Amino acid sequence: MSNLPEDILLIIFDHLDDESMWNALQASKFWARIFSNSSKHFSKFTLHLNSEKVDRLSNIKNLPDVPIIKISIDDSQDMKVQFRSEDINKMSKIIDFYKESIKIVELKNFELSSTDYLLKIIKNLKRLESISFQNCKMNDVKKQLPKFMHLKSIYFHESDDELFKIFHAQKNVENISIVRMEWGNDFSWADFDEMAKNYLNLNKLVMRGHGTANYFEHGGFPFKIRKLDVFLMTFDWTNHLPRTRFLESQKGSLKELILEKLPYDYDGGAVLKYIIEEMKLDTFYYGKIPLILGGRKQEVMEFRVQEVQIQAAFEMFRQFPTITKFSLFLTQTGLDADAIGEIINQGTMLFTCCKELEIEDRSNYETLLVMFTGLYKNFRNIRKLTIISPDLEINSVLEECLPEFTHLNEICLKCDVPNSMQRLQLIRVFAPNIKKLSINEEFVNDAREFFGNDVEVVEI
Amino acid sequence: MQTIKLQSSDNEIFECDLAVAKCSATIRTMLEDLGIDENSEDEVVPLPNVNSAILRKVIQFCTYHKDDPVPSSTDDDENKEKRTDDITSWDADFLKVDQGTLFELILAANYLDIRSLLDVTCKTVANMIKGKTPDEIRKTFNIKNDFTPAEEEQVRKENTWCEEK
Repeated sequence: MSNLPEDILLIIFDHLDDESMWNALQASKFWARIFSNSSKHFSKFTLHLNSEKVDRLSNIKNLPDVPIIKISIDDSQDMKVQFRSEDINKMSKIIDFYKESIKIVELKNFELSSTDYLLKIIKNLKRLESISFQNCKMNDVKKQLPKFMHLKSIYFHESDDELFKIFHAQKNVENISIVRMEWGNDFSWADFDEMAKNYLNLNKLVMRGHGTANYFEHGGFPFKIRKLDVFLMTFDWTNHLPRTRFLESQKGSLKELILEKLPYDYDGGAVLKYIIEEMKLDTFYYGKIPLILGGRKQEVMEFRVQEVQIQAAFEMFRQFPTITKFSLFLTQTGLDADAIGEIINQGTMLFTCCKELEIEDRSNYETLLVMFTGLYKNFRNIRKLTIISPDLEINSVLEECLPEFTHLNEICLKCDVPNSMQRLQLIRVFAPNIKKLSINEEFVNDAREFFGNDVEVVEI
Repeated sequence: MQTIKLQSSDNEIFECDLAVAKCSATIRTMLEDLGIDENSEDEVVPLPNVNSAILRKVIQFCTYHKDDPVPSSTDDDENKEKRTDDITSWDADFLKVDQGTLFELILAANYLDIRSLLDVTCKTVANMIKGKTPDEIRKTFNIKNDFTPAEEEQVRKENTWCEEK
């Protein structure tokens, strides 16, 4: 083994999990030196701890040659409550060996009955730059954490909002990231504001998951940020309140905005218009689509929205007349059908640039699609129409909309509704110029026989 | 079928399929860049870093694997922990050799640039490390404990906290 060159030893180390790596490093000082000389391995090495492992690692050595950058404590093994204090002591002892090098702390599945335990683990980590909580709970929040001079990033993923209360002293924090599946109505925005108002250097805020829009309703915003990455900013689409208070509060400082979803509701268009025209952003992304880069509007070719974002979609067409493909995704959002119908059926010629329209109906409302026939009428210039729907009324939808599309040359129809012959006849009568038809496998043979050589029929 | 002659460090000549020899990127480069004539009957490719016992094993490995698809570049999964539990039974049997042979195979795979062989031999060594204490690792590979007595003593003292209440 000692004859193997260093680069081969590193390839072998590459195949080791952290714990085996750790043991290997303790077996030979020579190995530890090779390992720490390799910057690639050095930056990747994480010390993983949990209550089960801590006993096995208890004969750990202090290897000053091997700086540990990151520790990750995963408590999913369910610590025995009566030994908790002892386990934490052991962990903090191990961590203390590396207190000069640890910059990143990750806590997973941790339920801390007291702030003291967290303090024991991290209090000596003078170089701490980033701390993340994943699925963590905190029961006693009386104490504040001491100030960590270098702490720049805090991540709260599916973790207790009580944790906000212990971070008031961290004046140098620049990034906060909060990720939850559901934010829920009882989420403590006030505690968040209380923490964040201390962060004069706060630069980037990430809020992901359903329910983030609630934050932009409550109106605290005790900070200025440069970068916001958020799931959704507006939601309450039954209420005609202006939604731009947050944006107004950040005007001038906010330069980068990433919206996972376009604004919902009746004001969605107005909010989008405000963002694009008033905020003077350097960068604005809708999901992964760049809308503004370097302060300039980009050429947007296609985008996809849900029916509740239809107002924002109209604004998209106003702002980006280059859009050639539009996808509408119908979901079961409990929408006010009459109101949406009214919006959609309003006369507009915005969509003349659009060459491709795609409607995907996953609403299970069965007749939702019919409501959108007004929308079809606005897309007179489309060349390709795609409809994906289980809607039993599909034939009447086609009968209604196909005559509007005189330029149509391709139809893609994914629906397993019977009466396929009637559908084919509708297509022949109302879309006489189509060259290509994509349909479900079970209807392909019928369609080929029906259209002969006039139309290329393919399976979806 | 076209064949090629390979010469080991101890001057044994091995005649093998050209396709098998080309599993080695080093041999491929020699043939393509250095202008060794593939068609010449007498041309022998010298491999001064590989002895005959190891070269025989390498040819056996490459003969078995010559039709395997070339794995795509692993740049993407650089940060992913690599699996070691995916060694096929043929490879596992093939690598049931003493440690010395295993390490020589690694060196040969490295020199000849045969990625699949290097990968599977390194995985095998990694598996010999996995799940062992530092002491057991030292015993397995006959590694000298290079921690000084003072360092060991310090460790022993530091560990007394384990028994603390």
